[in-house]
Amino acid sequence: MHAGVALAALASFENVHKSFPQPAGPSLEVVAGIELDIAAGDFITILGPSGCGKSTLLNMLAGIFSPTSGRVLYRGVPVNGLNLATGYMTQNDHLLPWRTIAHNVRAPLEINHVARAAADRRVAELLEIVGLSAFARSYPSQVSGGMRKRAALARLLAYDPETLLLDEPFVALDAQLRLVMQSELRSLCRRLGKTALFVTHDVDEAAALGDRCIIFTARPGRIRKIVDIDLPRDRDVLRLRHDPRYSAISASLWEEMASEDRSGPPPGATP
Amino acid sequence: MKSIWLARLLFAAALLGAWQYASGRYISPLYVSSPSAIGARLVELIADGELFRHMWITALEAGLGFLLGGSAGVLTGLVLGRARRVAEVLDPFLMGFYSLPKIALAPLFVMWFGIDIEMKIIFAAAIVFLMVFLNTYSGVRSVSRELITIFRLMGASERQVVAKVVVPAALTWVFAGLRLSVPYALVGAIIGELIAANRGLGYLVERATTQFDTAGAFAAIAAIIFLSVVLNALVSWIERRLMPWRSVEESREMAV
Repeated sequence: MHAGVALAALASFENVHKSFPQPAGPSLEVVAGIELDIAAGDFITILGPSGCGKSTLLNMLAGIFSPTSGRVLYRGVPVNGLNLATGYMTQNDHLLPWRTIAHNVRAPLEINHVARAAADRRVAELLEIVGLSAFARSYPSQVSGGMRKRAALARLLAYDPETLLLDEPFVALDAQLRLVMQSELRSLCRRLGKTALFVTHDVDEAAALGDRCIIFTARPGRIRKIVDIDLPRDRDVLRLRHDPRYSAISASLWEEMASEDRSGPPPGATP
Repeated sequence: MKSIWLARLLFAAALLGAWQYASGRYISPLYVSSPSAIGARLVELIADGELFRHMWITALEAGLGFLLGGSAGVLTGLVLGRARRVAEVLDPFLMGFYSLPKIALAPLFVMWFGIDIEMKIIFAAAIVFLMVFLNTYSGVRSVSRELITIFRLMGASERQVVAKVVVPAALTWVFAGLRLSVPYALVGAIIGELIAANRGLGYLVERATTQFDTAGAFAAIAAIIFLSVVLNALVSWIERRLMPWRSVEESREMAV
C-alpha cells in the first residue's frame, strides 16, 4: 500500500489533445496524444521546436484552459479551473513596475493575508536567498534584467506553490547569468522539494536541469521520447560543463533533435 | 534650460510687439484690439472684481464637470474593461456617442437642465466622461493577461486583481485621459455659457463682443487660458504624487 502511494503520480496527462479554433479554416491541433506521469519532486524539462505546444502543456496543468479531449489530473483529480497548487514564471518577469522589489515579492503574501510581521520576515528571507537584499527598495526599472528575474523567482517562491511551471524563464539572460540562475533554480527546487516543469528550446539547458527530459515533435506536438537524465540529483549545474556524462547526454539530445529535423519541420532550437 | 526660457520670452515679446505695432496701423483695433488696451482692460476687470467673479463660476463648472465626468469615466472604464462581453455589446453605441460633436447636444441640455450652472456642469461632465472612459477602458484592456493569470495562480480574487494589478496598471492611461480632458471640461463649460448664461468667462467674451469691446473679449480669453494652465498643472501634480515610480522611470530614461 505504501509503495502504491509513493508511485502515484502528482500530475498525469492521459491521452491529452488540444486544438484551438481558428478564425478561418479548420481548428489548429497543438498537442496530440500526450501520455505523461509526473512524480512529486521531479524536475522535468520539456524540449522541442518553437510552436510545438510545450507551453500548452503547462497551461493545461495550471488550468488556464482544459484539454479538447483526454484528461489532465493533479493529485488524481481532473484539473478544473485554475490549479492553485501551481505557480507560473515566463520569459517576461511580470513584476509590477509601481512596486519596489520587496513589495513585488510581498504581493502574493498580501493576497493570502499573511500578517505584516510574518510577511516582512518572509520577504527578507527570500530576498536573501536570491541575493537581492541590497535592492529591496529599488523599482524594477532600476535594476538589471537578471535581478528582475531573481525577483520574479523570489515572488514565485513566496507563495510556495507545490509545482513550478517555468516557460523559458531564462531566455533573455546572457550566458553567464543564465548558468547562475539555472544552478540556483535547480538547487532551490531540490532544497524545497518542488516539482518543476521547465519548458525550453535549449538542448544544453534541458540536459543540465532535468531529471527527465521530454522531447516533443513539431506541431501537433507529440511526445517523441522521454529521456532519463543520468546525472546525480544533487548535481552542481555550474560544474556540469566538465562532466563527461553531461556532454554525452547533451550530445544524445542534440542527436534526437537533429533526427526530428530530417523527419519534420525545422526545430527552433538555439545552438 | 535658461536659454530656452530666454528664447521663449523673446518670442512672446516679438509677438506682442508685432501685434501692438500692427494694431491701428494695418488692422483696425476694433477687430484685434492691442496688447496695451487688453492689459488695461484686464487691470480694470481685475480691480472691480468682475474677472474673478466670472472666472470662479467657470472654474466651478469645469472643475465639478471634470470631477463628475472623470470619476464616472474611470469607474465605467474599469467595469467594462473587465466585463468583456458587456463591452462588446455596448461598443457601437459608445463609439457613436463618441463621434457625435457634443456641441450638437448643447441646446437639448438647455432644455433638460435649464440655463443655470447645473447645465454647464453636466455638459462638461458628459464630454469629460467619454474621454476618460475610453482611456481607462483601453488601459484596463491592455493589462497583460499573462500577468493577471500569474496573480490568479497566487490565489488573488477578482477584487484583488483589480485593486493590485488592473487599477495601478491602468493609472497611466487614466491620467492621460484626465489630462486630455482638462481643456474639454473648459470647452463644455464655456460652450454652455456662450449658449445661455449671465455669468462665467464664456458669457464675458460673449457680452464684450456684442458691445464691440474687443479688448474685454481678449482679456476674458486670457483668463480662460490662465484657468486651463492652472487646471493642467493641478492634474500633473496629482499624477506625480500618485505615481512616484513614473518619475524614477523618466529619470532613468534621461540617464540613458
